[in-house]
Amino acid sequence: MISGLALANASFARDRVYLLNHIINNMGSIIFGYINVRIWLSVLGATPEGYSAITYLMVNQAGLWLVMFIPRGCYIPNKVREGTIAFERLRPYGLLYGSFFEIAGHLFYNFLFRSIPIFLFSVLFMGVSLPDPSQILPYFITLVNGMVIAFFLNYYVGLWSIRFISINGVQMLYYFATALFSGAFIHMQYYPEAIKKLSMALPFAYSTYVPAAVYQGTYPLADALLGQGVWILILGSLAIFLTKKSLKYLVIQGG
Amino acid sequence: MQLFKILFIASLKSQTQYAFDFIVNIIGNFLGVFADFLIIAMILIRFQNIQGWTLVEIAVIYSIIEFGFGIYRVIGDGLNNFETLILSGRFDTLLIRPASVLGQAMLQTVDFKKLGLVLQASLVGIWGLSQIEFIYPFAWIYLPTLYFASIAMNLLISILLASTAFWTGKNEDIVILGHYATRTAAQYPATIYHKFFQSVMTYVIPFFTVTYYPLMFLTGKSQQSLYLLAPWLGISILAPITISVWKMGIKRYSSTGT
Repeated sequence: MISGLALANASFARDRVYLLNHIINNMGSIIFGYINVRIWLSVLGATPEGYSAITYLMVNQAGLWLVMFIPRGCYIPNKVREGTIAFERLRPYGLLYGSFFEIAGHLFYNFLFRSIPIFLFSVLFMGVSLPDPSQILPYFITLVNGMVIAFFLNYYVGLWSIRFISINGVQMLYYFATALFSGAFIHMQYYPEAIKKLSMALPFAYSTYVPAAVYQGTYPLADALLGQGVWILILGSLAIFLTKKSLKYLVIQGG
Repeated sequence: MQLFKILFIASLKSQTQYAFDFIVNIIGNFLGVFADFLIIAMILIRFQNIQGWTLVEIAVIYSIIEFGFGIYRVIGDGLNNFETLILSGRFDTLLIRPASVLGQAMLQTVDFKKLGLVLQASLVGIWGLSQIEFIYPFAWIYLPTLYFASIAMNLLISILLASTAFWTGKNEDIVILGHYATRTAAQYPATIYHKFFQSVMTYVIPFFTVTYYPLMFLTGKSQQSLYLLAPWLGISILAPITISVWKMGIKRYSSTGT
C-alpha cells in the first residue's frame, strides 16, 4: 500500500511540471463545453430544462479528465514501446497494481487542476447549478467508482499494446464507445429508447452518466452503487485474468 | 517531388505490413470521429433543427469540415506532432536537406490509417448531399470547391499553430484549443454562439468562411451572394499570415538536439 501511494505521489509530481500546458488545455475544454452548452440552449431555450441540461453537461465536462481522458492505455503502451516495461516486471508488485496507483496520482492531479477549475468556471459564468448538499457525498462516491471503471477500460487498451504494440485504432474504438454510450454529451433522457437500454447494459454509463445524474438527484444512490459495484467486480476480475494472459506475450523492445 | 513519392510509397508499405493493425486503425478512426456525428444526429432527430438548420444541412457542414480535417490528418501528420520535431532537435535534419522544409515537416509520414476519418466524412456528405435542397442549381458546381477550401483551411490553421512550437516548445494544448475545438465549433451554425465567438471563428480561425457563410446563401437562408466568396477571402488572407509566421518561426528556431 505504501509503495502504491509513493507511485501515486510520483505520478502527481510528474504532472505538475506541465501545469501551464494544462491551464491552456482547460481553456480548450471550456470551449468544448461552451459549444455543447450553446447547442442545448439553442434547442431547449433558456428554460429550467435547458439549464438542467447545461448543469449535466458541464458536470460531465469537468469530469472528463477523470473518467474519459485517462492517459492512453494507462501509460502501458509507452512502457512497451520504450522497453521500460521490463523494469515493471522487476518491481515487487504487479502491473495492474502499479498502473492503478500511477493513474490514481494522475487523476488526483486532474481533479485539483482540471476538474475543479472547469467546474468553478461553469458555475460562475455558464449558469451551472450547485448540487443539493445531500447529493455532494453520494456524487463523490459514485464519481470515484466511475473513475475505477474508467481505469479498467483504459487498462485493457494498455494490455492490447502488450499483444499488438500499436493502440491507435483500439483507442479510437474506446473513444467511440465512451462518447456514444456514456451519456457524456447528451443526457440519457434524450437518447432513443433502444440506445438508452443498450447504454445502461454497458459499463460506460456507470462512469459518466450515473455520477452526473446522482449530482442532480435524478438517480438513486443505492441503484448507482449496485450497478457500479457489479461492473467493478466484472471488469476487475477480467483485468486480473487478462493481465496474466497478456504478460505471456510480452516482448521487451529496445536493448 | 520524387522524394515525396518515395516517402509516400514507404509510408504505405510500412503501415500495411501489419494488416490486422492497419484495419483496426482504419475502423477505429472511422468510428471514433463518427461518434461525434451520431451525437449530432441524436440531438436533431429529437429536436428537428438547430436554429432553422436541419440534420441534412448540418450533415453537409459536418462533412465539409471533417473531410478537410481528415485529409490534413492523412498528409499532415508531421504538423500535428510538430512539437516532437522541435523538442527532439530532429527539425535540424529538415533544414539541411535540399527540399521544402514545410513540405518535409508535413509529409514526415503519410498516415493512411487516418483514411477512416476521410471515409466517415465522405459517407456523411454523400448522405447529406443526397437529401439536401439547394436554391441554386450552380451549387453542385460550386460545392466541390468548398471541400478543397476546407482542406486548405485545415492545413493553413495547422501550419499556423504548429509554428507556435518555435516559441513555446510544447504546443499540443495550443493545437487542441486552436484547431480541434474550433473545428468542432464549425460543425454547427454560427448563430448558436455569442457575437464574440462568431467573430473569432470568422476572422481569427476562419472555419465559418468555408462552411457557414456559403451554405447560408446556397440553402436560401441569406440573399447575400458575396458569401460565396468567403472561403477564398478567408484563405487568401490567412495564407500570407501563416507563411510569414512560419518563416519567422524558422528564424527564431534554435536547436535543442545534441
